[in-house]
Amino acid sequence: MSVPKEMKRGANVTLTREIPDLRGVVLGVQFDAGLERVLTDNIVVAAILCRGDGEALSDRHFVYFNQLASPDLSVQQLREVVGEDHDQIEVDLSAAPAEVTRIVVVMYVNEGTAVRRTLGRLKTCVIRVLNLDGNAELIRSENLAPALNLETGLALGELYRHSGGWKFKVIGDGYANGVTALAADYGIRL
Amino acid sequence: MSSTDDLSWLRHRALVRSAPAAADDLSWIRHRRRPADTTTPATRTAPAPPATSLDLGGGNDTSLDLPTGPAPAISGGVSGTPTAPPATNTSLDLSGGATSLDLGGSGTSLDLPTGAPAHGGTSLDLSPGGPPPPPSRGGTSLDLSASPDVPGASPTVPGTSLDLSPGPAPSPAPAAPGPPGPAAPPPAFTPPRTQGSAPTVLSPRQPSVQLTRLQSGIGALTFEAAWSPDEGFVLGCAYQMDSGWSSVLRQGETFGPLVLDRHAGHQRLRLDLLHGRHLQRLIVFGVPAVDPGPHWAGTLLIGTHGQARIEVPVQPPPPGPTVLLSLYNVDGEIVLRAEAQTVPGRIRDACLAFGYDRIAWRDADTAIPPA
Repeated sequence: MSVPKEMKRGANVTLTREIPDLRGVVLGVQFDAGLERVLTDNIVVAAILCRGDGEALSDRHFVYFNQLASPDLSVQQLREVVGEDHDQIEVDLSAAPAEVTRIVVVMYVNEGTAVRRTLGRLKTCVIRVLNLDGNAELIRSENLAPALNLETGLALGELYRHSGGWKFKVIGDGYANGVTALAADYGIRL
Repeated sequence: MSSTDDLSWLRHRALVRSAPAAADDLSWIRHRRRPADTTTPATRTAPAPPATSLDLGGGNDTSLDLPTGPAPAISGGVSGTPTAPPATNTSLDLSGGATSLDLGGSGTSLDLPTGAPAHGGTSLDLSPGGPPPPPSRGGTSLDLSASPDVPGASPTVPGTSLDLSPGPAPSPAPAAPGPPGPAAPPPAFTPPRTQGSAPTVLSPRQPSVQLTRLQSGIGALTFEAAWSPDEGFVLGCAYQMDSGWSSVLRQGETFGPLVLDRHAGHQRLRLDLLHGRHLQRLIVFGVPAVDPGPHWAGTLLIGTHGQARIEVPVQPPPPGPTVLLSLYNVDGEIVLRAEAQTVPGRIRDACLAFGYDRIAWRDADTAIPPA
């Protein structure tokens, strides 16, 4: 396969051209904060199913630990990951409704009762794409962590429809105000 | 299910209850149905022949609340085999030619396969409308599954079958992925949601509110005691985790996702919703420390991460701990309910009144903290 193994921010690849019979993918997120357990214990990874205008279809289309599947079951967060990822999200590309044009993977630091931490303490942060059939790694992003500083939210990457197929793009955009800013950007009512 | 573990769990349950040999038939069902009626099971089953198992012919005293109809005919004979070895203590032995158990009514309730194998095993299929079980299965099996995978399996006929399956099983995971099954019937009552702009005021007419899955999982829930003097009415909470662990949190204490401290001169309880997903339920109570007087008023303010605001007005508390609010995690959605229940006595009494009976107490106001 001729896809570059490590994709930079903003780079994209046409998944369904490289693998015409691609049925679905697993979006895996890996991060490492060293000994900073407070940070890793409070990071939440989520997927947002968006319409053409870039907004989420509804707040039911925010898939995370307390809402493990989208209503159509095309996007599901795994409770037990396979392999070394911290979080994994399975996407059944053929089951995604036509109105879903983008599936964005985000992460944020939950502002619970713990001391506030920022994503700048991450040493590594990588999103990768696996083939749902066989778990072969198709794409791995560059390390997104060095560009982060005071951010508490991050859009990692997105799957999106293009010319009847699916593409994947590494985003890597940080948000200073965590899930609040992410939700505002994707039109989700918290 | 293998042929050897036939109904062993049923026997074990019966044995645990140390029921007499003749009466250890499905007694757990009776206990589930009628928890209060545990004093007279012997009189109910006494006239039955020995080892008679499933006593469904008791007329108005039928233990299993089945549609008896005009005549609770039991065709095929449930009388079991008197020759069953007493050592086995077979609980539900329907062998010996027992082929069908018709409980009357318009539907067949217990479908027993014909042609039971020589091993004597008979399966009690309680699946609603499912196909007959494989006849070659040895041993006795009790199939409580709803056989959802069988094509053509009709949905439950109301009021006819003895369906012991719990229906669409409440998944332990919130919104657990799986194939879309038949839609569950809508709940009889669903509390309202928070409104977009205005605060939600919980009142006796509308005491409860249900948070969304996002409100129930993002950030923290804060409970702020908005009254003065602040120390005149002391906030506390009792909680129970999914693990069964249950205790009380007092001012200045922390347990797992719960922190009870002060913020800007007010008592404040916070529930971390990421780590609080294993919290099952919670009550917030106040204990009057001084006589508040008749003109006292206060509010318990609840806030979500998305700035939704819920207000619980607090009346002048009579002496005794007052439970202000209860919280339940209902399959990933948090339900809050204003209670305003003053319980005469101490904190222990208030907790017991709300079913927190797994707390170990040092004294009537002090629970033993987690290790």
